[in-house]
Amino acid sequence: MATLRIKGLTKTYGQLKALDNVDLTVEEGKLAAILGPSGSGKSTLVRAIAGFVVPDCGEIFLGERDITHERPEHRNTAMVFQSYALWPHMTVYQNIAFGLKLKKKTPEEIAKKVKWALELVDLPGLEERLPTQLSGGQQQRVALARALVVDPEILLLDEPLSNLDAKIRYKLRFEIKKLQKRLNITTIYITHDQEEALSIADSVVLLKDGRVMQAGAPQDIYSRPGDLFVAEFLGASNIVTGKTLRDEGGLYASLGGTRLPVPDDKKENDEVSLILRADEVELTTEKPAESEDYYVLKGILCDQMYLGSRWRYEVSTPEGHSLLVDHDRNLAAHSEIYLCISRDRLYIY
Amino acid sequence: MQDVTRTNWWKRMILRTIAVTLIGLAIIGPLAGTLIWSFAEKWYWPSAFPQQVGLKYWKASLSGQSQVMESLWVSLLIAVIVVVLAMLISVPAGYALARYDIPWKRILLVIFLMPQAFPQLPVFINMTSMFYRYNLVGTVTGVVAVHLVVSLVYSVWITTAAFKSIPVSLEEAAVNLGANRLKVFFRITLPLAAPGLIASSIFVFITSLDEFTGTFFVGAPFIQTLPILMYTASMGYNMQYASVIAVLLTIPALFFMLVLERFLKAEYISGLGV
Repeated sequence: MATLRIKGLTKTYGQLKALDNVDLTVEEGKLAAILGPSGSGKSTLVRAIAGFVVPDCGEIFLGERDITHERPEHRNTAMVFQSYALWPHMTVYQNIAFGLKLKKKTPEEIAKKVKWALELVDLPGLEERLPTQLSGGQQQRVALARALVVDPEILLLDEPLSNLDAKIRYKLRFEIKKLQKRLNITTIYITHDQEEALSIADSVVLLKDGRVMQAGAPQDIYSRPGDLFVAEFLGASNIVTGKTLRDEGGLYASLGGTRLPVPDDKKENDEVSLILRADEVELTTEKPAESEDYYVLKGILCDQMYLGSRWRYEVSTPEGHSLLVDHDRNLAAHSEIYLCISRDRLYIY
Repeated sequence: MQDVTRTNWWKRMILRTIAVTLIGLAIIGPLAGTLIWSFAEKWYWPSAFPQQVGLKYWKASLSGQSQVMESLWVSLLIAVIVVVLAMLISVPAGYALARYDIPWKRILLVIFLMPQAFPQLPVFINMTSMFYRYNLVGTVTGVVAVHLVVSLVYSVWITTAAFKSIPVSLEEAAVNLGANRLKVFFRITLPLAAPGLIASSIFVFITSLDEFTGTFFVGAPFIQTLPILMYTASMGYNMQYASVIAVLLTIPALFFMLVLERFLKAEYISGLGV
């Protein structure tokens, strides 16, 4: 177990910058989720750590050891692949024992360790099965056991749950988190699912076009998205684009009949984006009191959708935008309503 | 209304029966004829069946010192050598073609295909004149070389496809756990590619066993493989010997085709497009 430090990592494929000057530190025993859309370079990053991709420049340190140019088989990283990558011609036991045999352990040690690993992933008694006789979730548990059994210094999970269905994905997510904490192993978790990243990670790193857009604790990154891309990627139900306006009070944007401040670098008639999340807006039928803490927007209910625990309404604003807003009661259509949103929950870019 | 459908049904059945019988005859007919010929001790035209049936020619063919047995051993020896050499070439070649970005990959494969693209006769005649220069005509080495030219095309293509059908991540997972290249190849890649490699070997074996034209030009009359002997026998109107050899040659081919069917997976065929 060791701290992972990456400095200025760059990798280009022809014209494409897969990694562009990436800096990243993952403290010992922490789980960092690398989050990004496909093609953002997150797979290249994890493959560079494992040694399957040779970076153009930059450095990778595992503890005090510079592993940038070390051969992949000597790095002592353990990777779990999206496709599980279990060897179909070997039993579960042989799959897990493979790494231990390479380390020249005695048969007794191997047997003990494999048993430990299978109990760790909650699959005891499946030693003699072939991978094809297991479900997807079980296969990924075996892959996890195979990776953990060699006591790696860092665990690399490359979209480990993407091939599983939602229910198992949800369950395994928390099991991985628990295991990681219990073993106190430094972990990189690649995903394109923002909810997965936020729920599992100690820190989230958002990647786009090979560049780190934002990094930080899940709560920080969610409540203070640094730019439009981050906010959008972390799940914004409402993105409204309009033009900046000017009056005697200066530049502003208008939404729901309310004057909203715009960033300092905007000029008149520039495009401005407003982001608000459906579950962070409070919907009321009576006009709330003016306050420094929140904005009050006006609108008319025009459509509704029942979500089970709550209703989701489509609200149209006087400016002609439509917003999605959640509320726990059924309201009459076409009624005039007010939206209350905390000032730090309305993101303006 | 019902009568019309019933007549149609009969018509269809009769046509179908005739078609199936004709196709069956076309496929089984010559084979059955050969089988009957191999047991015929006397069979004079125009009788539909042999006048005398027996094992005389089989016994003569399979006795220790017969020419058939001698040719069988020569054929098997050559086939085994060809299989070994073909695998020694196509395993590394197939792996490289499947895994690495080789410049001119397509052209390389086309070169392997080349001898098959031209009419075989001029190719073999040219090879024979070349082989004269190096004293290879009439030698086992020469015949092996001809068989290699004919069979490498299959073996390289099938092994390439076999390696290609193994996901790279299976190899990477092994490297990741500390295996060097040799260990990855022998513990992961080779066992997983084995069905494809066996299929490829069988193809080469049968190709070599049945090869006639090239052997005729390069080997005959000094190297008498079974097909050459069969040709000589049938040209001398010795139909019984020719038929015995034909049946002998069919047995391994049939046997291996059955084995092959189990090993040759659909993904190998689809993996052929490199």
